[in-house]
Amino acid sequence: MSSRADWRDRLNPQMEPGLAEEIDVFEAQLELRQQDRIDERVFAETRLRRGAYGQRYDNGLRHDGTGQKQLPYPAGRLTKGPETMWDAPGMLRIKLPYGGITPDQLDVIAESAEEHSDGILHITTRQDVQLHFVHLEDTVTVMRRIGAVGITTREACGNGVRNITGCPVAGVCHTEAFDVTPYADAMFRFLLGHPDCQDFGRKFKIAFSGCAGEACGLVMMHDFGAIAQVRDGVRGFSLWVGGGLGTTPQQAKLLYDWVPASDLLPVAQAVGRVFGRLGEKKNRNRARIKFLITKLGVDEFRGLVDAERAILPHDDRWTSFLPGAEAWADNPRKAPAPRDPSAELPEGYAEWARTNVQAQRQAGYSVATVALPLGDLTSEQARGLSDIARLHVGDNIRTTVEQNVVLRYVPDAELPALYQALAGIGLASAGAGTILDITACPGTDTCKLGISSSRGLAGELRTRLAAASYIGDASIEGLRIKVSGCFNSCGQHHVADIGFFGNNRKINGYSVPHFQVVLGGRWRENAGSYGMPVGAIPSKRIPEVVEKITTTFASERHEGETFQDWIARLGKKEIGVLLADLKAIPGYDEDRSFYVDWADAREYSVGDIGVGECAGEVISRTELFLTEAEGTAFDAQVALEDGDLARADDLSYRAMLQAAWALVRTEQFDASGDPDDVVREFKQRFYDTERFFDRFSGGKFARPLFVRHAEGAPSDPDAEQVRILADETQLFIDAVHQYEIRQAGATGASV
Amino acid sequence: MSDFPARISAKFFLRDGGDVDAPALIPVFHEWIRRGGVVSGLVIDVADYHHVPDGPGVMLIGHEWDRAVDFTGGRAGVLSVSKRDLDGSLSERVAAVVADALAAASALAGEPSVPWARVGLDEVEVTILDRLFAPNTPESLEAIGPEIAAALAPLNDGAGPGLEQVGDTRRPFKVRASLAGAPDLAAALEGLRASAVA
Repeated sequence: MSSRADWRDRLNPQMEPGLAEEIDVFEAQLELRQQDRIDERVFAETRLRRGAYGQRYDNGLRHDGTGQKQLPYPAGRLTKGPETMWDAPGMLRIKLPYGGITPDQLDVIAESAEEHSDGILHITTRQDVQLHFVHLEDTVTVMRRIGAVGITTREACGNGVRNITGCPVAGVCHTEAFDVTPYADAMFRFLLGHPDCQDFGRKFKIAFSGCAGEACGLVMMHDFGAIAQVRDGVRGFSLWVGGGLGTTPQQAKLLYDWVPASDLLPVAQAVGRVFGRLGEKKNRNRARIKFLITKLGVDEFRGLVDAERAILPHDDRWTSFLPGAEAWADNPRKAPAPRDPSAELPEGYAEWARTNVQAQRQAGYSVATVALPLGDLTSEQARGLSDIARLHVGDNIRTTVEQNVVLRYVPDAELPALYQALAGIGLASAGAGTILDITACPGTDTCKLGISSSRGLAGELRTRLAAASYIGDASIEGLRIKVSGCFNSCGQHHVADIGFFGNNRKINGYSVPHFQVVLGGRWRENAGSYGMPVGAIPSKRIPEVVEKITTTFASERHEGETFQDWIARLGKKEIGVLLADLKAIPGYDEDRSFYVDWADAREYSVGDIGVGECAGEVISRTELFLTEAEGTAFDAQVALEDGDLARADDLSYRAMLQAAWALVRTEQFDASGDPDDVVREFKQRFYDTERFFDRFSGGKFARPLFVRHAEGAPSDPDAEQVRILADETQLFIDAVHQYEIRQAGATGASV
Repeated sequence: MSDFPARISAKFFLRDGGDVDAPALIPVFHEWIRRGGVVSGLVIDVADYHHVPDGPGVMLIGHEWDRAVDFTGGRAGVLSVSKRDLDGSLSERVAAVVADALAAASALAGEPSVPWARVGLDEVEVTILDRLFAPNTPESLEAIGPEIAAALAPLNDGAGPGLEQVGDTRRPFKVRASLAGAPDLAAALEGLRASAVA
């Protein structure tokens, strides 16, 4: 029997030069931190840059439904970051550039999940694999094991270049200009650990797409993106910069309408240098590149990139990959073969093939999508999948941003056998790319930032929709649902037909899980436009929202009308009317299920919440004012929709003032409603004292109020800026709700 | 760090695996966390994987141990996985893991909301989740099989049961043992604990 320490000796020789040493260094840093010889903040950033992330309850506190309780981890006060207990299990994120993975790599991740995690591989919305509930000491072994088969966790988290995503059907699709795979791969290798990408204020996400029309790489929602184009026989890309989701979603701006492939890497390097030099560093909430682009304007940014590009010292790697990229070709496991139309088909095959199989550009081959429930598969399934891949497609496996896996180059003749093999490991569910194929971030299951249970909701919707007859309507079946546990948008709800993100409301002194409903996002055209928020609905009524929205769409849509067009035609007002009755919540004693989140049993909480009579009285008055603010914010969205930008701007500002005034009046009953007084009092009492700050977002949600108040109404309102303000207004109101909930908890605890 | 594996699992199969309502475990496990002391060690959270076919079902995640009603291999059973170093010889460690699985099964047997969660004592699966220590080979069975059998002896009228190796070399080392069957969970637990102490 071997010693556990042997992994290092056994695997280090198999790793790329440098990687083994990096992992050794990280292992040493672990030991130093255990001896308190490295500051916890420094160690946290080190750990994040190695892909080892925190998980919910890692501060040693957990609300059990009756109160917040200590989790007495054995390592006591030792931390792995600020307020992050050493012993608390965490998440390890494994980067898969463009989602590419081989059967051998899949096997090793499966083994690692089995031996160091909970036996589940979770595919993320950025084509990574995440292992959850991993002890920090075990991360080193996982890094070595996956490093030995050529994959890494490096810079999977932290303020660097994250995984580079790419179209999962690159090279086999019908609409691409060319296969972006080798270019995405080259950029991944070039930027990994690049010195010019080590000084970012925030993360930096890159995507590649082979064409502009399909969803593929979702370039428009990325910090930096490339869309393939051929000009005069030369391969190149249009480059986009400054897209992003989160609290202030922005579409990427065109940086260059075309650059030859030979300029791809140096331009990316120049962008990294400019972002590293000028991007925000102190305020994390304004540190993504989209804020720099907004601040400078894309033209000035482009000028800076041009200037930087001109002085970059030459690097052979900029072009050394090009001959290989030009010659790049997939290596199918089998020769193409047409399906025998007379062959008997297994039960369930036809439906699976209808939704999960698409013909490749290469005749005789198809792409088969393996639909994973909530992006999860077991180690045993992963091994089974790698066996199936070896038999039918070889190395042609990709993960997708819809949390699935695709098998490429399946000979058409082998599709029935592939289906049967997948059924044998429980992975032959039909419905890929349909309304059943719901995307969800981890949410409150494991994420520290989760507000509502995105996975719980997604699981419930999936179960109900699978049994619902109404999804048989073709106009409904093709809709996409995406769920995020909070406003940070990891579930990519902005680009779904029907999106949700978690928030909560205080109702009669109790916290109630809600989801903000976001409708009409455009998945195609590389995440071509973002959805419209239409209001918060209690979590337990979201299945009714889905049914009402989809069935109304099916019955009332005009001939040929898309969901996006229908949402635009209805507008916020009519949708508000449609959903109005679903906002109601039964009293706590009448139906307590509304006060418990999906897939949970605890009374819902966002922290220590006690309900004192004084707090209850104050909250009810404040809630009344906040309701008014929400109404004004709603009107702002309607004005925006009507194209009345000046009114939308003014109403957004007024809504923020109302929400701020609501808080001021909790301490100054007869406070003046004059805007100068409201802003001054709010700032002095709640912002400058940091009482309004929450531990994750600080005070960022209040800043739009201060900026708009200081700058006054724009003389020539810009549609995108007004839309952003309207969205920020809703987030500010939500933040006031959160403050009230925290305050009620503190008051209750002191009673 | 010892040279013995930290991760060892034991699984007792449900007597009636056909009528399992896995989500019903969610409130049970949350309540165990709230009450404390139902199972040993620090219990942290509940992980719901019941949507995954033949997966770990619903898990009670802990610091030292994970417990679950697990569906791997298509058979539901009460699973316990040790995650931190245990004390003693390999045999004592396996006995401790088997005892923990039985303790979890015993606690579930006291939960009226999950009447299906009742295990049989005539069969157990033991897995060494450490390929470096024990690859799933005949050589491993020869080397550590006797220690595992010795750990299971209290559940088999004092005699080490025969072990059937399960799975190929890509799987973790796993053996299945048919047991004579203790009269009840309490007697089985008592026998194991006595053995572990000895």
